[in-house]
Amino acid sequence: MSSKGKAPLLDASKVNADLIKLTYGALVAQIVKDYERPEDVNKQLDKLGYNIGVRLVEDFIAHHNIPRCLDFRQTAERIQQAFRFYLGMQPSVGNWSPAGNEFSLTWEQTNPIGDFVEFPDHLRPLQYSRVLCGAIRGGCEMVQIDVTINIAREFLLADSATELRVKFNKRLEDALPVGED
Amino acid sequence: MSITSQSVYYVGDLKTPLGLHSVISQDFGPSVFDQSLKKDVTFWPVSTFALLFAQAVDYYQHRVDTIRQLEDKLSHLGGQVGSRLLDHFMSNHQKTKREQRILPMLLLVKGALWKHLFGKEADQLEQSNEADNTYYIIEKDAVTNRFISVPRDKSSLNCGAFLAGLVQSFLSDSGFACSVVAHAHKGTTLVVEFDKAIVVRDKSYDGSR
Repeated sequence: MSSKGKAPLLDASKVNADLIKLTYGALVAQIVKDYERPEDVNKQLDKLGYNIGVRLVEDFIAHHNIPRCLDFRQTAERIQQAFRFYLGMQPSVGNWSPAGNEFSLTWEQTNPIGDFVEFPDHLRPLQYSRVLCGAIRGGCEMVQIDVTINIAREFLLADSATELRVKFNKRLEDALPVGED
Repeated sequence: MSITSQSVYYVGDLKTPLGLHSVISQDFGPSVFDQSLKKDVTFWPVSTFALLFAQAVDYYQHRVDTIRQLEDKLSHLGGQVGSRLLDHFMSNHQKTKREQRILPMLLLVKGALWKHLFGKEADQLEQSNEADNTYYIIEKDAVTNRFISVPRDKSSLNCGAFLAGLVQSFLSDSGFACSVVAHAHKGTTLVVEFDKAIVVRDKSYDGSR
């Protein structure tokens, strides 16, 4: 990774996955306390994920020597690859719409970040995986792809899998700098 | 008498299900009882943590007035993680014995816990010269501080507060009431200050031997 005598450019150290999951869980708990209405919490989580995605793209490209995507199928592959890299669990890509502009990312029988989560009844509208959607959206936006993501199935709410539905909207022509928040 | 001995009792893997365990395993595949408590520790790239933690700091930053409050918030966040981590960590390391003395407990934190979390031990563990209830856990390159660039007007902010909160609740929940504060000294130094009662208890073990 690095030539002799230089500090490594890429940090190869690792952190326990449970620590990360618990940290996210604690953060969600805090946000729930601050906002109370699940819809507002979802909005916050989405923003959080978006900010992660915006920063993540550079890190991802630095770690992987990858060329530009030529079609949406390649984009799907990249997203899959990114999940494998960051969350160690690769979703399956499938369920393509006939027009080829919509697909699903599916984790069967699991939620990659939800190992320690229990949902109380009054928080059922809360979308715990919203952060993943935000991250995909932010990441894609940084490479000029506008996507919409919905949570089709949520393992934590007793579905059989966690499924994110990614829909291609348009190519962004102007790469405007994104304001931080 | 002879009827019961013939037909009713089955044990082990005989055909008829007996009790909850076999009922579950028949319907849903392997049951929770078949799984080992010890799980493989999975590690994710440090970037994942860095990205998430940066967002946590960012989230709190807009909701506090002083740096002190921000550190308190981070410490609280770490505390939430620490107390949940305790059970998980102990079962994973199959510790059948609870630590009673201060030093082995601190060594456990410095060694096994740090290895469990970050794949390496913390750099140093020292005891204060002045106070017998104060210890220092020194980590030169803490992940919480590595990726957070602190603006000049907030230079007193130490994101190690997260780790401090984590260690504090980890120790407190295992019966060592203490307060932990992070200082920026030799990297990050976690100052662990035990309650007086804990030190008295620790000394009383000396007397009994």
